[in-house]
Amino acid sequence: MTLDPYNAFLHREEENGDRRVGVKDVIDVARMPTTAASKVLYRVPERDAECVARLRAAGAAIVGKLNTHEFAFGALTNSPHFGPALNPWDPERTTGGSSGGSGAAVAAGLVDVALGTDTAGSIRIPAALCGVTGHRPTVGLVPTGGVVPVAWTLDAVGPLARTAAECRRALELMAGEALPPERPVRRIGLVTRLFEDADPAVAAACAEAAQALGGDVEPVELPLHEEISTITQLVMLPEAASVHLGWLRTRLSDYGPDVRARALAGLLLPSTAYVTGRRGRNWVRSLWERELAGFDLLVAPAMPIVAPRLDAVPADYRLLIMPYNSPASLLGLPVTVVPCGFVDGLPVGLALTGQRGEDATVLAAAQRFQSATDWHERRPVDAASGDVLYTTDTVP
Amino acid sequence: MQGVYPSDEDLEGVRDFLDRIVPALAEIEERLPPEAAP
Repeated sequence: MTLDPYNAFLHREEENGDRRVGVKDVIDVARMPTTAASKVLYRVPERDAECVARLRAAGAAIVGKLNTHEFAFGALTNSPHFGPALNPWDPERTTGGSSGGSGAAVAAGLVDVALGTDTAGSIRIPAALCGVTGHRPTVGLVPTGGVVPVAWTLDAVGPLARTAAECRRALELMAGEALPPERPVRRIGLVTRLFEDADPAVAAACAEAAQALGGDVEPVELPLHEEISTITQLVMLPEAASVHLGWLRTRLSDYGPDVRARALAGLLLPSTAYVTGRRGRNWVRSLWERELAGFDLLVAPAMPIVAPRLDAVPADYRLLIMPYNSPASLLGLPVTVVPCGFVDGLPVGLALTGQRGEDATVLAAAQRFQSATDWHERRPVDAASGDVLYTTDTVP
Repeated sequence: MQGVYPSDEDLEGVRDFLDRIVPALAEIEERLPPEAAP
């Protein structure tokens, strides 16, 4: 068995086959432990989660469970109980999260496809920071049975892989059906605010990549961008507190400090805050749908920065990244993140967002982008030996 | 707190969240159009 120098796995059993699938450790795999990288949860389910069962039935080899932020409730993958996942592009840097083990395992060639979950960016963030392709599906497209929830109305299960084509294959298997035909991409909205707020080098790489998508690229200002992060929190925190209520009563001290604080915040918010969050979501939806109707795709940097060092994560990291991830989460929209350049040797990701149910459209645009570019073929180099970690030949 | 007993230190950890969210919540409550239903 190859080594796991990036702490990508929490549990590993085999690596045979040419369809090696790693599964984030909030998703049940039969006879493998589910811990959610926590001290609180340990179960060994008899059955696969539905999405895993569908992949296994199609011939996937489930090779293990992948590291995650504790309970998938954070964006760093630095569980105090299992240690951080390390970024294969620079092991002193974060993978992002919460599906950080998934991002690291794909980037290091330890799996062909990794399953992640995304409540408020948890597939998109590690895809961007680890230089791989990731797809957050439209909410409801992939069944969430057998998955530890973060917040029921925001959660989505999706794939990370080298390419958008691989993500699409895995997505269709997990969804249990072929995606409907994509729409032609004629008008692309470039979300100006997210470019302006990003590191200039990251924004420049993404702006150049957007031109390679074809179609007419036009700047767009979307309504309520400032408010969306708060509204997402008003929905997510109380739902998460409800998920964890039983454990908060009996195991509070076993949570890591950051997750404990988030869960308690959800508990302390008044019940009207959740109602305001739900009302706010519908308010945002009504305004965004009007704007989105004019565009076939929106593009923006997936993250405003490249992967920070583990010992120097900005104090405002969460606030910095929420505007990039909250809108699609709140509205349940599909997003594909593709590698689109490098800044200081670290990968940059471009986020392609579609209208609800238009997963095929964003994935097809990502496939066209990857046919015209080679960013997704770049490989990290082993820090010790200077060797490329693996070659394209080893990835079917 | 619904049978949950956080320590003072735990509550201190929550304060950051609430200090940020509660004012923003109040502002959103004021701006929500009445027809926006949950």
